[in-house]
Order: sequence, then structure tokens, then C-alpha cells
Amino acid sequence: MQTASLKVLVVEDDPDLAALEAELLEEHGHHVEVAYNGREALAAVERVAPDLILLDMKMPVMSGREFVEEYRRAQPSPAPIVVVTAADDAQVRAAEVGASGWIAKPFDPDALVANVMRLIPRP
Amino acid sequence: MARSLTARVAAIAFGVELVFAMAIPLAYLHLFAIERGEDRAPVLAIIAALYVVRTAALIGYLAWLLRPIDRWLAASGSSSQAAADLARSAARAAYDTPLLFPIVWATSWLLFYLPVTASLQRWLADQIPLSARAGEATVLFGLSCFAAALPLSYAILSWLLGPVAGRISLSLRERGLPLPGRRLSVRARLVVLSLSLITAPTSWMGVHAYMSQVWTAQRDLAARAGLLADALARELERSADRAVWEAAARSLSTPLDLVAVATTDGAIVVPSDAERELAAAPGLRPRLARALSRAPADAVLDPSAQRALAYRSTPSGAGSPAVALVISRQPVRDRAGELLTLLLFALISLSWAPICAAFLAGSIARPLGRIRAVVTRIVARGDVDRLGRIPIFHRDELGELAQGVNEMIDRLQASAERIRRYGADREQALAVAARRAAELDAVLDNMVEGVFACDRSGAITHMNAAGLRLLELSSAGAVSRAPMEAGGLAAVHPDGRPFSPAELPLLRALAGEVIVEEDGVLENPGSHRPVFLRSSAAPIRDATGAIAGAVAVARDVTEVAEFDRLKDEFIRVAAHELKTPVAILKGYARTLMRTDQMLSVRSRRMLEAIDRGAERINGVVEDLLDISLARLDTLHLSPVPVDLDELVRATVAGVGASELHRVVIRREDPAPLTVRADSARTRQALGNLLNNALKYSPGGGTIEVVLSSDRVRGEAQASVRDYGVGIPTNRQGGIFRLFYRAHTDTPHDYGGMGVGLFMAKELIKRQGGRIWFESREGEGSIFSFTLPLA
Repeated sequence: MQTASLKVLVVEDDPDLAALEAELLEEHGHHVEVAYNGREALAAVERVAPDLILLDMKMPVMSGREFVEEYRRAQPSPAPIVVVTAADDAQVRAAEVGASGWIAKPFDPDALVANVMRLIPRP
Repeated sequence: MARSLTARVAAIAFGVELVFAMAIPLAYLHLFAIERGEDRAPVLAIIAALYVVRTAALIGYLAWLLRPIDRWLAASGSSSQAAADLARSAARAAYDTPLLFPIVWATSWLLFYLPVTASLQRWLADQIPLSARAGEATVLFGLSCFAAALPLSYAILSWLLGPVAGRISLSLRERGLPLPGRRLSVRARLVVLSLSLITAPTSWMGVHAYMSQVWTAQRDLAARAGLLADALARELERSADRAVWEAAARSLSTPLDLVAVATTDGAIVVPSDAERELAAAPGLRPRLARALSRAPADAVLDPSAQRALAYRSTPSGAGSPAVALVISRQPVRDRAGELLTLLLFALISLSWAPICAAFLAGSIARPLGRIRAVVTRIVARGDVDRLGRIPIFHRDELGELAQGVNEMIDRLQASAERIRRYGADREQALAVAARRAAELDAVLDNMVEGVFACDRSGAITHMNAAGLRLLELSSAGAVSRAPMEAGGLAAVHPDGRPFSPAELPLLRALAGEVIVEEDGVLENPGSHRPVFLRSSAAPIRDATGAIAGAVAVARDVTEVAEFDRLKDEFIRVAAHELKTPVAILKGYARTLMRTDQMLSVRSRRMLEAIDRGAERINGVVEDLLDISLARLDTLHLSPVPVDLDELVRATVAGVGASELHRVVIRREDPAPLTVRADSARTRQALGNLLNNALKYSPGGGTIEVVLSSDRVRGEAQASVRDYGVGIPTNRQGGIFRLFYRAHTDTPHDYGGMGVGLFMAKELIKRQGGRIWFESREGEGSIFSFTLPLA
């Protein structure tokens, strides 16, 4: 099921995991931008205006929660956010920040892709 | 003293008697008017001889009576059966002798003068008064002596023997022997005494009156004169010789009797001195002449009753007729003699009665004095220690009183001893109790745990040093009814809920609950340092089982709790940190396997091994995270109505049952079972149970999941039954404990961390359900849980 190419921002402090996520998404033909913390992510959204953001919650410099707050404040029409977290209550965390979806670490590669697909905004 | 008792008694008794014994013969002689010296001598000799014989006999008898006492005195100290017998016979002698011996003694006086009088009548027959009723007079005399001797001898003997009897009574008392001897009441003694006091003077006066009547009786005077006249008349008839007449007349004459021969006209023939006597009495001669002219033989009395005149005219064959004439005069009363007798009598009475009274009073007053002294000492000192017993002097009411007092002292001493012993026991018990209390205090104060005790009302009665430290109180003085409030402390549950007063362990124990190791937190706003307490409490019951108070022991587990929290935190953080690398491992491994079609079989197998390893790590990480959630109490459950059937079906489908096993779902309640539960967490719990069932049924077989409901209790029940190895009975205790593994070190140790059942329990409990199991080694297990119906 091939869909339109999207601009996805992966915010993840672990470079290996960020690379994996990017790999998987690019494999499906999406354009992936990577930020390693909230602050970088803020800069990235200005630059690329992503269609979807995969967001890790626990990061140095600026956490996922802080990023969401800043991002929402600065962006009148924010992109949907999928929380990727190791927290045991991922769903709760996602709800807290008003995310559109959540993926618990460790994730199944197919599940990640399926989740992202499901969240692609219909034009 | 011991040897001389008999001698002393005899000496005193007969010494006192001797004074009287010497006076009595004088009275006797006077009574019978034996006034001539030559008459008195033989009488006194007889009396003296009799007295000696009688007294010797009496002393012998007395000595025989008192012999047991002397023997007892000599043998005192020995303590054999023979000595007891000796004491008994001595007591009998001491008590009976004052009663028996005086009777013998007084009787000897009653009889004493009878032989004297008899011999008097023999030797002094010409003493006319003696012939008249001398026997009766002697008996009366003896009676007065008897009556005088009886009280005197009794008084002396009882006075002398009383103390000895008392000593013997004490000795008998020590041996626990009863008192022998005759009892004579005080009343009887006083009656006998008063009778004696009446009888002695009365009979004495009586004998005097009797004798003086004898002397003065007119008929006797006339008879005497007649007798003398008859005697002279017989002489006159026998001879006509004047010289013979004169000799006869003189021999018959006495100082009181004029014996003469007269002519019928009243002229005196012989003796010549009779004429003078007749002349001295004017009016007698004419009366004589008149009498002679009327009758030849007669006796007439002088009207003045001072004289009697008797005459006998004789048929005078030889010479002129003669008349035997006797004029008997009333003896001239010996005023001085009577005065002397009276004086003597008065002296005797004056000495005798007081001596009797003194002895008797002594014998009564002495025992009374002893009793009074003892009673006074008891009253004054208020105790009866070192109090001697009262000797019993006489077997009478006073003796019984003394005996009663003795028994009272015995009782008092026994009870005083009992009280002393009780007091000593009590003091010892108190000392032991005090020592125990001190030991207990020392133990309690050196305990790490805080110990609190309260009474029935809930007021704190004891708090040890650790307890004071826990509550941050400086001293027991700060202990109050509400110690928590006193310290400004607030007790909270581990989850932060405050304790209501009724929830405090001590007060719950007071209601009968036994609390074991319950956690609580004390928050002290002053120090801002919460104290974690692990408390146990139990009621204190009295002998009847009623709750008399409660005791609580609280341990400061702050450090342990802190360590525990750190450990849980570490687990949580570590697990979190593991998740990302696991995600990388899995992600890459799977991505590679999926995307790279060119992988060799060997490489693919390696990647699969990496994936499986990562999956296992993930399982452990999940377990650890669950544990930390449960332990840190941050496990959030979202109960919603869930279809239990579907949930069970999904769970069963999800577990990796091998082809050896068959999992069967059986429904006992056909109606749909909707429970209020967190779906994922319930699946997790059920999954854990199912996994265990599979794991411990290594030979395969059926696993049953049975669903039922109890509408009354409002709960649904799910049971997972296996027919596997089961759990040994001795390992079933801690089955739901974290990290507990019932099969550790057994052939059925199939690995695992001992987390599954712990988590199942935690999850079910937190959803308001219960979880339990039944198991039999070798037969399998049934694990059941309930969930509230929606």
C-alpha cells in the first residue's frame, strides 16, 4: 500500500534508534528529517514544516513535553505527533501532550510503519 | 527448792495451824471447866500426844500426795513419754491435793477431841458437868474446829500449790497435753467457804451456850444435890459413927456443894464448918425446917435459882435421926476466865478469818492478776509476740479463763505469724516484680523498636525510649492520651492517606484486632522528615479474656523503606534505559530479516537468535517495570466494563501453547460475564496464570479455564486448572511473594524470576478482586481469581 511521500520529523536522542526509524520510514518513501532533542526539533520544524512528528519524550536539552508546548505555541496548525516512548504508560503520556498516537519502545518495525501510515492526514 | 516442796508446804501449813492448835486446848479445858492444875496436866498430855500422832500421819499423807510433784520438779527437762506421764500425775497431784487433803485435815479436827473427852470422863468422872452431855458438846466443838480448819487448809494449800500447778500446766501445754485433775468451780469453793465461815463461829457459840446451859440448868443443880444426898444417906445408914459421917461428908463436898449431916430440926451435926455456911445464907434454915417437916426426902430449889437443897432423912436405928443434907450452889461464874476465852476466841477469829481470806484471795487474785497483765500487754502493745502463756493455778473458772486467753494468744500468734509470712511473701513478690519491671524497662528501653502500651480507655500507660524517639518526645511526661497529636505528628498511610484515630494500630488492637507488620508513615512538620513505621499490635487480655489494654511495637523502617524505594527506582530506571537498546536490537534485526532478501540461511538464523534474545530481554524488562510500578505504587489501572469471555478467549489465544497442551474454556454461568476491569492488566494476570499452568505441565495435557459467577457477591470467577506437577505443601506459603519460586532447586525448576504470581496478585487485588489457589503435589494446581461484576 504505497502512499504519498510525507515529510516526517524524527525526534530521538539515541542516534541508532533515530537512524532505524529514519531507515524504516525512508524505506517506505517518506522524507525523514532527524532532530536529537527538543531544541533541534524546534529548529527543524521551522525549516521543514513536517507532516508528521515522531517524538521521543525523554531527551536531553529539551524534553518531548517541552517541545510540544513550544511547538504548539509557535505553530497555529501543528502537525500530528506520534509519541515513541519507553514509558510504561505510553498511552497516558501521549494523551497528556495531545498526541495523535503512540508507539511503545521497543517497537516492531512493521508496527511503526503501520502506525505512521494510519496517521497520515488525508488530503 | 525442788527437793523441799513437800517440806515447805508442810512447814507452812502446819506452822500456821500450830498457832491455832495451841489455842484450841485452852478453850477446850475452859469449856469443860477443868480448872485444877492437877486435872489439866493429863488432859494436855493426851492432847499433845494425839496432836503429834495426828500431825505426823497427816504430813505423811501429804508427802505421799505431793510425791509426783517432787519427782516432776527433780526430773524437769527430760522429754520422754515417761516425763509426760510424770507431768500429768504431778499436775493431778497439784490440782487435787488442795481439794482432797483439807477434807482429811479438817476431819482430823472433827474427831480429835472425841478420845480426849472419853478419857476425861474416865479420869475425871467426879466432875459432875462432864457427865452431862459431854459427848454432844465434844461433837459440836469438833464441828467448829472442822469448819475452821477446812477453809484454812484449803486456802493455804491452794495458795502454796497454785504456782506449782501453773508451772506444770505450762509444761503440759508445751507438750500439747490436756490438764488432768478435778475441777472445782469458784462458786462451789465460795459456797463451801461461806458455809465454813458460818459454821465455825456458830457451832463455837453453840457449844458455849450449850455448856453454860448445862452448868446453869436448874434440874441439873437439883439432881446433883439429890445425887450427893443419896450418897451421904447411904453412908449414914451404914454406920452411926460420927467420924465416919464427917469423913463421908467431907469427901463428897466440893467447893460448890455443901454436904452435911443435920438433925431433923435443921441443926448441923457434922461438919462443923457447914454450920457457918448455912448461917451465911439467911432464910435457908427455916426453909429447911419446913421442908423436913413436910417430906422425908426431897430436893428443892432456892427461888433465886442460885442454890438447890436436897435432903434425905434416914431411919435412924442407931442414935438420933439424921438428915443427909446437900446444898449445891450455882458455880460462881469465872468472869476473868470467860473474858479470857472470849479474847482468845476473838483473837483466833481475827487471825483465822483474815488468814483464810488472804490465802483464798491470793489464790483467786493471783491468776486474775496474771490474766489481767497479759491482756493489758496485748492491748498496750497491740501484738502478741514473745508473750508467755498464763499458768493455770486452779482448775476452775479462772483456770478456764486463763486457758481461753492462752488459746487466744496461740491463735493471735498464729495469725500474726501468718500475716508476717504473708507480708514477707508479698514483699518478696513485690521485689521480684520490681526487678522484673526494671529488667523489662531496661530491655524495652534498649530495644530498637518503639513499644507503646495503653489501658482499656486508650490512654498510653507505657512508652519506651525508642518510642519516645520515634514520636520525637523528650520524656514520658509528654505522653498523653493522644501521643501523635502531642508530638505534632500526623500518621499517614504509605499512599499518603491520613490515619483516622480509629485506624491507629494501638486503638485497633484495643478493639481486638491483631496487627502484624503494617506499614505507616509518621510525618512530623517540625523536622520535615517522614518516619516509616512498621507496626504490630495486639490486645492485652486479662485472666477472663477481656481486653485490658493493648500493646503496639513500631519499628523505624525509614532506612529500609528508603533503600527499598531506591531499589525500585533503580529497577525502573534500569528497565527504562534497557528499552531503547532493546528496541534498536529488535528493530534492526527484524528490519534486516524483512528487507534483505539476499540473506544467507545462516545469517537469517543468527538474526532470528538476536531477535529472540532481544525479545527475552524485553520480557525481563517488562517484568521489572511492572514490579517497580507495583512497588512504587504507580501502577495505574483504568477499569472499564469488559466482556470476560472475550478477554479470556483472547488471552488463551495469545499464550504460546505447544501442541502437547490443550487449553479448554468452560463456562459454568451461561449469562454474559461483564466485569469491571483494566483489560490489558487482566489479560496480563490471566496470562501469567496460564503460562505457569503450561510451564508446570511439562508432559502436556489439558489446561482448563473455568468461568463462573456469584451474583450475590457480585463477582465473576476465573480458575485456571492444570494437571501438572503441583506445588509441595511446604512450599505453598509464600507463593504470591515477589521473587518466590516454589520449585527452586527441584527437578521442576523451569526457570523464571518469580514475578508472575506476584504481579497477578497485585493486578487482581488492585481491581478489587481476590486470588487464591489449591494445589497438590503430583496432581496439579488450580489458581482462581475474582473480579467485580460490572
